[in-house]
Amino acid sequence: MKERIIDVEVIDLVKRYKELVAVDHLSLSIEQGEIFGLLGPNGSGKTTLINCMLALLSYDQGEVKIFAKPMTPKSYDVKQQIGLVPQEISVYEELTVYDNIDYFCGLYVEDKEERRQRVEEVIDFVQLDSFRKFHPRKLSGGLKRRLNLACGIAHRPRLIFLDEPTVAVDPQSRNRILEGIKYLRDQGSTIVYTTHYMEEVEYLCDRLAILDHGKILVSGTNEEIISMSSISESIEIVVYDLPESIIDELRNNPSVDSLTYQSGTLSMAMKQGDSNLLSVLHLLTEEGLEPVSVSGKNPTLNDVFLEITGKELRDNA
Amino acid sequence: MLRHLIKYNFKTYIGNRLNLFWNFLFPFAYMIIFFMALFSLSDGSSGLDTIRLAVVPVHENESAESKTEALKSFFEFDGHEGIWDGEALEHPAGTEKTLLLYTESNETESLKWLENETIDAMILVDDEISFKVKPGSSLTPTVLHEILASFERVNKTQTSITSGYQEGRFTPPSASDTEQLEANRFIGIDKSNRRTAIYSQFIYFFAALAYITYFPLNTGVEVIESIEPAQSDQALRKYVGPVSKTKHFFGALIPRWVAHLLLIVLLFAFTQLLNIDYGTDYPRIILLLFFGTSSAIFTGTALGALLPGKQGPKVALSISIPLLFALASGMMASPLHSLIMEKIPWLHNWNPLGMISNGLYALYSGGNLERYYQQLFGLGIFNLVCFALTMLGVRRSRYESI
Repeated sequence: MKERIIDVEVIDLVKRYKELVAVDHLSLSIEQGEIFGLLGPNGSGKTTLINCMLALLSYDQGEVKIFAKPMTPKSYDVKQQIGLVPQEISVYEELTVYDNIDYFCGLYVEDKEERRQRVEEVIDFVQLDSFRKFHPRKLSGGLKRRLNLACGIAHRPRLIFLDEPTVAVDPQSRNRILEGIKYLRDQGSTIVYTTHYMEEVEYLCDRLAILDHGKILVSGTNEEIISMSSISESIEIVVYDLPESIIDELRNNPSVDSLTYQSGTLSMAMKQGDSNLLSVLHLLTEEGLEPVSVSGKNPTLNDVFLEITGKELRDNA
Repeated sequence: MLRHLIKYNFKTYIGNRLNLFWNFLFPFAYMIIFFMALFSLSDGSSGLDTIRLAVVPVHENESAESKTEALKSFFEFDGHEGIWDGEALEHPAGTEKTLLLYTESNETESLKWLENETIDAMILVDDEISFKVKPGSSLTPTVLHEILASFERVNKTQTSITSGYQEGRFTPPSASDTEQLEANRFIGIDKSNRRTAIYSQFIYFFAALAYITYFPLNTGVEVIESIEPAQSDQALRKYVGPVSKTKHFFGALIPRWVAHLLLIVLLFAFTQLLNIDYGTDYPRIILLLFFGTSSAIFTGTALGALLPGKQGPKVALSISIPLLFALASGMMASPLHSLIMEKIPWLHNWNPLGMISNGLYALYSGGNLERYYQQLFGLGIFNLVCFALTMLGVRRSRYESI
């Protein structure tokens, strides 16, 4: 059996800003080689948690270990193996694409020849070769994001913190970034990823934690988290002239969590159980009603997030 | 590593267009404007229009006559007694330009000349000196006020010394002392090429050079901005890396510091091209300017390191502090220099811009090296204190409000 190696360990972390508890007795561990997603609305404590992990912020209680060593502002041997891709595009407008990457890579790699190779590799990786002599002000939003990513990963870090790297990015650049992140994971890097896009988390993350008010509400794999939901599936049936008696009967069905009927569309969230759709269709056909269309979908992370926090993630983020 | 940091900090610094304008072009523009405001660029004479004056003794007595004569003698430094060519008061040498052309007359006649604009102003010599100018003169009253204020100071000093001798409080120097004084009088001063006027323009030019020397305060603020995670996104990214903040500090400081030391040498050379006379003791002048520019940068780093948060208030401070110091050292109004010296001595003593200005003056006015080194020592202490405060701020390890 493969041995589990923990790259990041946060133990009972507490961070207060005067009266406000930004991180509240939070513990988590991130395994080597996984993409770990951090989800939460604004003010949930995601950024504070990352800043504490990176020793950018002091904290009131708890412990942060990276690569099994305590993380402090002077843990240079640990920092040597970390890369950060901040949410804000943190590059120098005065430097060219090449110089920006070379500058940040040079903080980690002193040997010029080795650095040159890594810079070339990462330029190729983020497909900025045609723009190497451009200044960032001349790049589109998507290209700037790719440059921001390149500056954080050129030194081939073992652990990469990606803070919303795809905000305001065109679909083409987003796909490239997401594929790139998967590639980095496949190359052995551990990735801590924050985003507001549920589909990105579902696509990318091996495990994730949902934060609110500085606490982890749930954590686990996508499947584990979705299975925690009380909703099994959402059903939408287009059927006209549905009698009030049928609607009442469906509403009283123990497997129906909630129901609406508007403009001929019956929408139902079903509780956990088998054959929800079949039992509904059976009831309708018995009454002589013929559905125009039927669709069903499994609950998403967004549904779970909504259920747990009572907030739409994207709207509140 | 330090080399890598210096290389890229230099690139970012000179690659910033705002920096280029404010830190590198503005000081040159400022000196040109300042120079043009006080002198003509095109020829060797004063850039101000000639002021035609009537000097009017209010009373006919010995005291008034004596003061009138003293005033006329004083005017000779940058003026001439005019001669009448018909209705116009003209220079005795014809076309030669001068700041002042004067003639002595009575009040009635002078008023008549003033009304028909034959003259620009009349000066009434009494116990106190006053003047009237023709309507619509904008610059004349300011210039006359400065000249007459200078005259009053010189006259009072002279009167005081004279009465000191008369009352036996002073004794004349011995012949050998006089000889020595005369020998020392112009040490380090090239009398043959003196273009600056004898009036208070001196203090304006010393303060102006001091101002541009102390101008790059914001460069120091920027040094800290580039390394403090709480102040810039790039710094936050850098701080995650394995390089100490102290190394980042020197990597950001050294290229900016060196650039400004070179710049101040260029600026000084430029003032020499403009023929502004600061004396000829160039090595000591340059040393003083180096200390002065360093004090600006270290003031900036101390501000940046000690004041939390983003740049807005610090930019405002880095603009207003040099202006405040310049005001206190007499750049905008020369009497303020004496006023500050008298009323707020600590500000006078610890005003870096004032120290630069005083150091320049000490070198200019006869090579008073003791006074010069006092200013240099003061600037050295100032720099050390600012540097210590910077280190104190930079070495903190708590970064709230990121």
